[in-house]
Amino acid sequence: MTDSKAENIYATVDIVLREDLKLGDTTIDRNSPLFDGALGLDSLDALMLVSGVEKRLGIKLPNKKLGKGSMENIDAFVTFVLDEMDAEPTSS
Amino acid sequence: MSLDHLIDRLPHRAPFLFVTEIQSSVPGHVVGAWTLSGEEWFLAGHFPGRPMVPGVLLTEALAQLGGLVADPGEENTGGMLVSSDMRFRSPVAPPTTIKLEAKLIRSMGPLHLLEVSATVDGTCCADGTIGLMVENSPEETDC
Repeated sequence: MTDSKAENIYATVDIVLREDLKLGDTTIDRNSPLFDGALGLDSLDALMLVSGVEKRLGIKLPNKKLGKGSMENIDAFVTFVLDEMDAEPTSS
Repeated sequence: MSLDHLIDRLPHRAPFLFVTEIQSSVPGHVVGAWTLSGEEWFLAGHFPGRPMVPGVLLTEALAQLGGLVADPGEENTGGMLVSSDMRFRSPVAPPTTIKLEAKLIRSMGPLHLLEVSATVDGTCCADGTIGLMVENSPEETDC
């Protein structure tokens, strides 16, 4: 169950990166740094990533928990989103 | 009661202030208007004999309104437009009144994403998403 939820989040993040952030066919490694590596996202990209994921998954992520740790790479971000969804499964 | 005094919070002034009316204002959502007489400076060249409101100025008008959403404080700096993803659906010819609407989607620190639209007589002429950076953003809230 958790694996399928995680895969759904991975897929959502992938769509947001490729469509909203217009990364297109860029190779996206789940372990690559979001901000300093090949993806090279900036703070506006981070806002768009969070907003796009929230909109598609119908969740709300707390600003206070968003930061370098929770957004270090895609793996960390997906784990963070999964934890938030499990902590508040009815959030919308 | 008129809300037009809110316009004075913006740092913009003529001839580059395009919000001429505020119709409603609640946290995260402001509705206003831009009334054009047809005598505006940019219409002489856009286009001679066939005046049309430039899309970039529609975006600017919406960004100015969005500044009141992103920075509702008294000392508004107007913010800086950092992104725009707009669609222009129909031309706007003066004289006319364009209804402007800006709704906050999400904020993170000084950055704010807003959903914006411009309509004339109920017909959408432009809509999309803009990003504003406001230096003196209010305290972080999970909007």
